[in-house]
Amino acid sequence: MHQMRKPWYLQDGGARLAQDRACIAGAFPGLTYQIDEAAGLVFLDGSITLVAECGVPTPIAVRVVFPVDYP
Amino acid sequence: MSWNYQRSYDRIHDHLDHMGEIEVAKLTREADLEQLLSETTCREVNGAHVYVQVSNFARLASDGLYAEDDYKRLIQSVHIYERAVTRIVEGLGGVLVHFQGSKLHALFYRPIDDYEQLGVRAVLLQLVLKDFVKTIFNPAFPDCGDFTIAGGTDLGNAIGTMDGINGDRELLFLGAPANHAAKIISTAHRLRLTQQVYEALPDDLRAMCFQTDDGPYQVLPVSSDDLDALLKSHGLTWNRDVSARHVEEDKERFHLEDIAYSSAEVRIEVDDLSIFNNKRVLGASIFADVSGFTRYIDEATSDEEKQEALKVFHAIRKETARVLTGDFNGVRIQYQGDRIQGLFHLPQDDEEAIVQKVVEAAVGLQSSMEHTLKAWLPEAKDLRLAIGIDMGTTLISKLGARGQRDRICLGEEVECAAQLEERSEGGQIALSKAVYEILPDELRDHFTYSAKVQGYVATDLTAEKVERAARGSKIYRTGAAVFLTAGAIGLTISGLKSARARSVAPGRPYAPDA
Repeated sequence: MHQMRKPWYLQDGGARLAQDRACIAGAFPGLTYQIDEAAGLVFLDGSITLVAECGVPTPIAVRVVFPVDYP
Repeated sequence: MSWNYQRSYDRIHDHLDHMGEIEVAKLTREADLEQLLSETTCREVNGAHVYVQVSNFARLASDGLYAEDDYKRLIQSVHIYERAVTRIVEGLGGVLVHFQGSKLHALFYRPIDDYEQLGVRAVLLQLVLKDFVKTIFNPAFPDCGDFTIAGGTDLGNAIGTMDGINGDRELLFLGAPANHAAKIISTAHRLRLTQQVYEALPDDLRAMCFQTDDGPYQVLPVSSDDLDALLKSHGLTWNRDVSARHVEEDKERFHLEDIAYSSAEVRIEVDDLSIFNNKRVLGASIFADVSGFTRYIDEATSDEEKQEALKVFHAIRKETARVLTGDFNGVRIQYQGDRIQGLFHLPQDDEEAIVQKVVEAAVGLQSSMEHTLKAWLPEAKDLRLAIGIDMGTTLISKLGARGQRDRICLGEEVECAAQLEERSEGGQIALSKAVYEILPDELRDHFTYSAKVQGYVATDLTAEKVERAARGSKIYRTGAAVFLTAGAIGLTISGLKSARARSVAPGRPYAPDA
């Protein structure tokens, strides 16, 4: 009988997602993970801030959609 | 030093943190305004504001062919003019706010709330000054040419406050009458007044006024005898002979051989200057006005709104001064209501470097206004800076009556910079042709000619935009540009530059297996 494969973010007890979360939290604190469990999709939502040499910060709205076959 | 977001952000925060609570109350009795007012002690003052501009001083101050003694005579005449005018203002019961170059700003607020008396004094001051220039000053200084005056007066409520510390303290008035009186000044010989003043006048003075095609009223000229009769009938006095004697005494007191002027290799400390120690430099003048501020403060009706408007004003005032002096090593000449005047004269006689510095400072001012001031003060979202810049030979000094000496910056280009600012809109930086033509390419590219402003204008130019354009230009020159063009179908990527394209530099070359 065919058994449905777990979405990537639940595989290995969610180890990969935890690793990615830690990585993103350090580098891009303005981005947060969102999970659409019904669709089995993970998004990274929020903003990244580009800082000019003169110091002016420009926040840029960002949404990264992870494909189902990620990573 | 250049403009920096974090430094600007921190100092505005620091200033707001230490500002204290602002008190705005109505002025109900006579007071020494310079003692009473402060950054946080402000008063609503019903009064008549008078501006009187005199011709010739600016032109003569910029005259590069002027012989040394003639230039000293010019300094002497400005000094004596300001002293004499101060005496006349005070003799008629007014208060000297300050001189903006050679332009007088005076206030009549006594008797309190007596609009008729205030209007009478304001109009008669204009007539007295016209008579003084014609009958006393011009004959006393024949080498300076025939001076003529133009004036404007308005009546109403303005908020008085005081800025700065120590020698930098200056009286400031915010609100329509303090602004409109200067704006209605027209060409030479014309003494003008607003409808508010006209309506407050008694019949005899109304009969001497007519309405001009562009709105304000104008006072008809009067003979010296008629002026004396008018003064007498309104219980005021001005003694022409005493004024003439004071001018002659001052000429004796301030001898030409005691007056000195020199150029400046280091930044001018204006408070060290006097009639005996003046500076004459190649300098770029900059005026930055808070566009929309008069309406903003006039629309503040509750105590809280007035306090908020004053907090905004003081934050802008202090930050703009710090950009000019701290970030770009310029000289702050004067606050003029919601306008700041600055001068850049270093490196000495290096016009290209001076021009680059003053335009960078203007960009810094716009950056503070748009980025950091509005970050702290969102209520200032509709306020913008209008900036004018020109460069030429400029006389800098601190002249006038003892205890009331004003920072003076005289020159044709000083006036031209002020006019460029007045013709500009909020968010604009306007340059004269002379300044535009010697700007480095990376700055000049941001400016285009405006017939309305009669100068070269950049709109919404901030440090970030200059930086971004310089970086894009660098990439373009190396031939590695990629342009993203925003269009109806989304982003188009191409190697072609278009008017709406923005260049980007990839962090590393794209390679699928990298």
